[in-house]
Amino acid sequence: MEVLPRNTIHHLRCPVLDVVELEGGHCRLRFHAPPIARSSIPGQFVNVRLPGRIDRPRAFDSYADVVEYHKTHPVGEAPFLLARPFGVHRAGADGWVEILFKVVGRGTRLLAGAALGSRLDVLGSIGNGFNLTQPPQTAVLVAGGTGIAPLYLLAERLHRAGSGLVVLVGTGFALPMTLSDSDEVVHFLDKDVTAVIDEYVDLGAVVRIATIEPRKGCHTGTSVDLLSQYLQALPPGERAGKAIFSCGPWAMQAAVAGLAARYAMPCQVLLEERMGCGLGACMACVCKIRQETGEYKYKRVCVDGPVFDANDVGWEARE
Amino acid sequence: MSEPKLAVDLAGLEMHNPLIVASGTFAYGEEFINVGGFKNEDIGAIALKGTTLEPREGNATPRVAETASGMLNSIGLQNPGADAVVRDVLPRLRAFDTRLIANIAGGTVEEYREVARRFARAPELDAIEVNISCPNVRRGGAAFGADPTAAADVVAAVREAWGGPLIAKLTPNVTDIAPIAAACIDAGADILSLINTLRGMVIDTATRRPVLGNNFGGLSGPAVKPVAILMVHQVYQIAREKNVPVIGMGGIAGANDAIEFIIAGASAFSVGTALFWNPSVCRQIIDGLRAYLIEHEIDDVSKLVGTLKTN
Ligand SMILES: Cc1cc2nc3c(=O)[nH]c(=O)nc-3n(C[C@H](O)[C@H](O)[C@H](O)COP(=O)(O)OP(=O)(O)OC[C@H]3O[C@@H](n4cnc5c(N)ncnc54)[C@H](O)[C@@H]3O)c2cc1C
Ligand SMILES: Cc1cc2nc3c(=O)[nH]c(=O)nc-3n(C[C@H](O)[C@H](O)[C@H](O)COP(=O)(O)O)c2cc1C
Ligand code: FES
Repeated sequence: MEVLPRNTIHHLRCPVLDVVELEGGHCRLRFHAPPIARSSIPGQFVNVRLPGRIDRPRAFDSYADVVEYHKTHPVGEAPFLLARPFGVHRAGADGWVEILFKVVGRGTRLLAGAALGSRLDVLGSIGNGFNLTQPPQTAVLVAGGTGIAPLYLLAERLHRAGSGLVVLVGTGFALPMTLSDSDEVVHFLDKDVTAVIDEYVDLGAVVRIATIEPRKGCHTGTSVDLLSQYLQALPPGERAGKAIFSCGPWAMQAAVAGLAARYAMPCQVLLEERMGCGLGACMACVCKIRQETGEYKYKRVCVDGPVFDANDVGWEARE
Repeated sequence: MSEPKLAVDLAGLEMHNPLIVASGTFAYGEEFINVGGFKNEDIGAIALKGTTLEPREGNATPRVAETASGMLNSIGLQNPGADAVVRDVLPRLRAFDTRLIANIAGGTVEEYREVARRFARAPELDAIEVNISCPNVRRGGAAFGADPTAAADVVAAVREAWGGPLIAKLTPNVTDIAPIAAACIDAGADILSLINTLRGMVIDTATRRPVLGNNFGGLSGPAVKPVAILMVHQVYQIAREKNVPVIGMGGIAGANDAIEFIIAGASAFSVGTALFWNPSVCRQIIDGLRAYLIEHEIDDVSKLVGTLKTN
């Protein structure tokens, strides 16, 4: 077992700056965490816990206001809760970090109801993010559901590094981002598939959306269909310089990995697994990963991942 | 009052404070140091991950499930095997000024003995803890620790191989823990530690399947603390007569929890699950313990051990 030097993981009490409810039971939460905002790389995650709640009659005007309030209002005792992992969605130079999530259970419900100014217990940033040592000419981002959240930070950084972006999103429900209609036709899809996500378009991305239920401007199907059509339409000579980045449910990512292998395209995937510590200590979050020997071994998603090369993941090992 | 004494000596296991990090929650000591402000040196001792003779792959995922005030785990002892730990891991741990406790597991008495032999050659180790909660593969999978004779067999086998401080870690999944504690002491245990996890299951009602890949697992965290406190109290009655110190654990999440264990009879205590949601908990517990001793004018933590006044 070799030890790799790792970045410091900060354990901070972070005031909630903003909580926004979005379509389809989604929520965007912003908290103040300068060391995490500074050090986060795309694909890394934060482990968030809600230690207690304070009732607050009105919104805070500034961070200084929050600090002042906390001098006289200590946070109450905590209910027991394991931390919840969320990919870093966006981070600001002035020290804020945003996560974007869907309310699916107890933890996300508590988080969505977090009072402004209450403090979250946050550990971050954790894990190996996407490998961006050689930004591709064109990055093809494939997202299933809330997979669009961690991919946004990636899109921002790739855009800054000069990569072109193609963003293919599949969703079974309403999207927590801004939809609009594009007048541009893309060559790999029918001409009536025109809906786009503004946040990604602003980064110069070509964006297309697939929905399970038919919806105007969207392809009826999945993000895997979109990727399949994109790759089919791509002349073999144009595959070089392109790379796939994926985030979403296991079955979707297994299919993305299959397509990447068939077209011999590099592909990185961000995996999810249930966690205990989020620090590499409990061995809860494992997943079968191929070693240099060709053997598959359980590796920890939290610190050995969460991003892996799609070729190395033992996709069959799990249904 | 001057600074109270926090250092403890448990049958030759000398620690600068009574806080041990629990086996299985701290891997082999090299993970939490990545958290800003965390120092292994703040801990009295590290109980390393349970180790078997051969490498073990561990159980299918999901391996953890949150429960009311606790969690279930079924890691399945994923570990690289005793030889790899002795050769690759322990030498690196010399860098830390804290005590190291190997935690050993096995499916047969011979396996326990053999793992202990391998560890006995490692100069880095200060103590060995025997996890007797493992299923006995020769007896249909009943835990060694559920039967006084089987528990004694395992402890005696490890005793043959290791001359240093020997800790027997008891399972709470028994009707009466007292005879098992007594059998372990008679078989040569210098120290008793308890509790290991309580067995449990969580069912996903949508799929009607257990949440854990292994179907069932071990419960830990604040949910188990009252069970652990009572068992420490019971075991202390037996252990103190034979001058055997007790290490208490199960659900400790703050200084007050640790103090409860000490009053019940624990000379030292372990923190496990709480580290997962509060990696800064060790410092907080030690600070809180010190403050309590000062407030109650106790100059040595050992003087608090077993001071319970029953009604
Ligand atoms: C690296 C990583 C990044 C993630 N990024 C995002 C993101 O950006 N946006 C988003 O909406 N979701 C994300 N998730 C999933 C998110 O962690 C879960 O939706 C969340 O933990 C559910 O908590 P809950 O209490 O509401 O659900 P419950 O089902 O009540 O949770 C019970 C337990 O299971 C765990 N759990 C449940 N679902 C998941 C899951 N899919 N992955 C891991 N643990 C789970 C919980 O953490 C908790 O311990 C990410 C997961 C991982 C591992
Ligand atoms: C994820 C996990 C892994 C564990 N692995 C081991 C182990 O390998 N050997 C062992 O003796 N105990 C193991 N335990 C039990 C703990 O050491 C401890 O006895 C128990 O969790 C109760 O303490 P806690 O409530 O503070 O966690 C494990 C516990 C957890 C949560
Ligand atoms: S969550 Fe504990 S090792 Fe990954």
